[in-house]
Amino acid sequence: MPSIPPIPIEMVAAIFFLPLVSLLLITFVTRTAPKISGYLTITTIGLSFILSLWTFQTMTTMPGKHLGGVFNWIVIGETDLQLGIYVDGLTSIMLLVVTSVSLLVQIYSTAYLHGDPGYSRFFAYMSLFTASMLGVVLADNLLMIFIFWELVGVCSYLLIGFWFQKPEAAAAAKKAFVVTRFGDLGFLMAILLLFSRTGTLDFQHLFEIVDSPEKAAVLGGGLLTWAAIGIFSGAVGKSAQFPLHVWLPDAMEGPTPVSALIHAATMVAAGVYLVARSFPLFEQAPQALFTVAVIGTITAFVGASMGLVMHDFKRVLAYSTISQLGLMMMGLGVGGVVAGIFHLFNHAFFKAMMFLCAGSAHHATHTYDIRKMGGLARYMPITFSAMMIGGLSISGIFPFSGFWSKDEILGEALGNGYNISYIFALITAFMTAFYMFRLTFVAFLGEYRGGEHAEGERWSGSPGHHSLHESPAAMAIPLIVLAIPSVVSGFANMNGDFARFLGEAGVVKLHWDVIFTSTTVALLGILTAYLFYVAKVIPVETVARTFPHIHGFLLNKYYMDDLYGWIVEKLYLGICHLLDLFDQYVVDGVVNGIASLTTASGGVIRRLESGQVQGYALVIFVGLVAIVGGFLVFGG
Amino acid sequence: MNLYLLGPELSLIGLAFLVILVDLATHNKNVVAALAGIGLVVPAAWAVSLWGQTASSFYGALVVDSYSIFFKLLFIAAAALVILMSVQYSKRFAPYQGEYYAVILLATAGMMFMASTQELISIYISLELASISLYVLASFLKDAKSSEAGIKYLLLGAVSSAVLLYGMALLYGATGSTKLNEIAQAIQESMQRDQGAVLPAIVLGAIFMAGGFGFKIAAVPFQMWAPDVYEGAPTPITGFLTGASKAAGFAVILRVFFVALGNQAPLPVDWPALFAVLSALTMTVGNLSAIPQANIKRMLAYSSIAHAGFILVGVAAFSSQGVGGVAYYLLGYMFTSMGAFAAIVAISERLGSDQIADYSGLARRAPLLALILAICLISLIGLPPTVGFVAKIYVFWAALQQGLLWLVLFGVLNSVISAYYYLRVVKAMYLGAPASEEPLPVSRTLVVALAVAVIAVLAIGIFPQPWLDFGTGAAIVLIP
Repeated sequence: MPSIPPIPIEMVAAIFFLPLVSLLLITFVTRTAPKISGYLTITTIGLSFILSLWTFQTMTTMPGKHLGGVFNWIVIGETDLQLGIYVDGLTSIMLLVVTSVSLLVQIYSTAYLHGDPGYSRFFAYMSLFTASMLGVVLADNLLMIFIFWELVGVCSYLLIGFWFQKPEAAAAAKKAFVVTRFGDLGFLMAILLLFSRTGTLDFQHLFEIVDSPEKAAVLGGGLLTWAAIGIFSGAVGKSAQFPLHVWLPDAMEGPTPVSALIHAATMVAAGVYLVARSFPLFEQAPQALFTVAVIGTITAFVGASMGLVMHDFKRVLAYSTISQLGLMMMGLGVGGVVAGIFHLFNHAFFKAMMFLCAGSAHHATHTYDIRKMGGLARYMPITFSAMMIGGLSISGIFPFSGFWSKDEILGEALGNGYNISYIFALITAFMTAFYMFRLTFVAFLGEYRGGEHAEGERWSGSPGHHSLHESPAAMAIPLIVLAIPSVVSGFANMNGDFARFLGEAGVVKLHWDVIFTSTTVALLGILTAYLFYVAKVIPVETVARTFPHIHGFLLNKYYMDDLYGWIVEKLYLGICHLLDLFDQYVVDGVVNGIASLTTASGGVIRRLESGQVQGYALVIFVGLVAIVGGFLVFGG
Repeated sequence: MNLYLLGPELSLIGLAFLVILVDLATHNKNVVAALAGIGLVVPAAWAVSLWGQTASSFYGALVVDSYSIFFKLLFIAAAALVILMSVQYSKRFAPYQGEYYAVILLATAGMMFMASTQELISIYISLELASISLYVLASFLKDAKSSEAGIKYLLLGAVSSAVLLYGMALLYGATGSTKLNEIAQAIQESMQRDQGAVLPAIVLGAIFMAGGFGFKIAAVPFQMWAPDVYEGAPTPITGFLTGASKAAGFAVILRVFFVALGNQAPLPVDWPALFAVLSALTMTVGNLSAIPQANIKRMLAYSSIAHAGFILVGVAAFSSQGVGGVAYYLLGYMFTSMGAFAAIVAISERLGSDQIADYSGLARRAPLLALILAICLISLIGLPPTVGFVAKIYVFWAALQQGLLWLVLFGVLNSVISAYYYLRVVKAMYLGAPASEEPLPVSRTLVVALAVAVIAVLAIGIFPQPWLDFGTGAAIVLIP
């Protein structure tokens, strides 16, 4: 086999620039030709994907090493701001995830958004998003990450609000943007703190500083811990971690391909990536790492518990995403970078696939309410199979991909003494298996309940209803393609290859006790769902009525939205009212004073600017005399 | 005497005469414009071919170095943009387009001489060549406002020339030479002889010269002419005045003060402090006066005064970084203001108005035009990713290095104030209701001018390093 040469750094840069080209072309040239816009996006992202494969191939030949390229952006004296690329195993895996999922989602979108008036706009946004996300992944310093980080935020805003005519979509976009801003504030403060203390934002320099005991003194006194927590707070916002998770379920108002790409596979995983990328900082700050583990555990549990009771296909998946992201964070927090990233990798494929299933189901039934679906398995075998594979994978059933990474996270938690996290993760695993199969059983088994026209009553048409059909090839093929890694990607780390690729020790410990426990728990979850929703041995309503408080508590999402609403309405607006009074009587008084002063002096200036040439000439001479006078008084 | 070194200027003057000749022969004035515009390639290429040399001619009166070539290329670029902007606009003063283009070229030649001279008399003559051409250009529209602009500019220009000449005479009287380097040496020697005492004539000469040049760059208190002239002059010429004529003024100021009065230790006259005070005054008066303006040309006139203040920050820094910053700032400001005025030309061609209120809803009628104007205004505020941002950062940083914290604080405060009146225009364009939905077409030559300007504003802003190197390379001539 002829050997493939290593990828030149310019080609790595091209991975980022290609989608940008498609954005520019769509904006300026093909805006009015939607079909071409779609194909353009697919082509450029396809090329990016091929280059990502090449990058990946290159990295496999040099485990533990990295590629880099630096471009001096602006030099001000000693301080130079550099734009640079940093490629290591982690980067190349993320590149693969982003470009491959993005490519499949774009193909899917050509069918899903067929005939939408905003078709070109959609692909322009998607191109910008993909470029920005690749920018986050490729950046070699925190400032660049922050810039692209904000850009993906903007894209998320634009795409959640893609159907901005819908008030819910506009509100959801605003909510997502505002809520993540809280996290980004901490991130920005961390960046400023690190730069002011160390003078660099470059990852390699930062790592050198924190790794050497002498140099690390500049970040002593807990500053490093605060910096790490600041970075983590950015990740909390972006990755929808508790307590900033509230935006993600609402973000489901966006088109489903957006949910699959941005709110399941890539952008929300950016937080996990950020923590993994800056992991050497966290390693030196145990308290920060502990915070990551705690927040991750809470998020995993809270997310899964809310997923138990939702009726909206996409919202169940959204809470599931929150829960799984929490699990990844927990993995990082307990010290298992490989485990966390491995789960990110596996999750990206099966979760994107399940979202695309949601879109497919919606395509047929025109609703996302699973109570109005039912019996879809008969008409949509591909979608149903994909859902089953995804469900088995996320529940952690052998040999599906989720099994492997979830086992590693649990094993790391147990091995590093995080017993409470371990127990909560087991409960989460039970709930995950339950809600995922509840979703699948209710939507795909039983009798069809009439789709969007059901309106609560039983649908009484003929079973061979003509509107129920499998989705077109452009939608079905991405499902099939995504199903492949959902089954096999777990084997990537069976020999520790994945870990070695990330530059970690590739020791694989099979935790037999963990495997046994977690598989049992997951099977119990599936069985419970079966008893509830297929065999109907246990009536669901009875359970809900027996524990009305818990049910209501979950259904109302822990009352978090209400809490935030209360904070904004009572506390925040109260303070605003006070400030308003201060503004009216104190600030306005001062400002009005200045304003009248300005107006008065403006009157003076206006009189000077009279249009009289003699007057102007006089000013010149008076000015000269004043300058000479100034020199006489203050000395030359 | 090496005429080859004068090639860019001589070929430009030749081009001006050729334009007049061709103008006599043809009725198609577009041919004349094309000749003037494309002909600029010759002096530009000639100037580029001289890059890297340091040589002088005419007994040391004229010098070719990287500093002068930087400015020569800047002026040629400005002239090209003005000609592009004028093709459609100049129909207003048909059939005199030929003379119009020729005078533009002569003014450009004058500015190029200004950047190249290091001798007081030649400085004065080249300044007059540029100025008199500009007086003519300012009154070209021949309506009441334009004539008023030309006359005012002429009268006040004459006053300032008198002041300048008086300053030069004093300096010559005190030192016995008109050459900048000999003046520097004479001052140095007399200071050594007299235990550091400086002749009052030198101080007075320096102040008067600062006044004379201050008029060219419209620094307070020599700025009174600017709003009237900028408003009345044909709009492309207003762009030329803000973009090129101002740069020429700075080119001379830097060379005269750095070479003749900046090479002694201690400085004979504390002119950096003088320019620091003028800078603070200029930006403040310019910005505050811009706020209430309703006419966009007048607003940009005051804005241009304010920018002279910002650029003076780099002069007051009195360091090689400062000079580099000034050069970069002038380059960026030239493209930015040219872009803004080109957009104004395009808009007034269709709307027949320069009132900001009439810009309401423009983004819907001419989205690209509105976007370009918005980008230029953002550059004038000094926000990324435009050239205005890097330029301001750089001069402020140079001033900080010299401990001028108070001036930088002034500058930052003024930048914030200035955002108000620039964004007012953006707000009108994007949030206002359009008077009609009818789209506004833009003539082809203007599209080229707009595209060049806005690409430069973004490209020089996003990839500033080569341009900063270009600017600091020019600065090295003054401060080795």
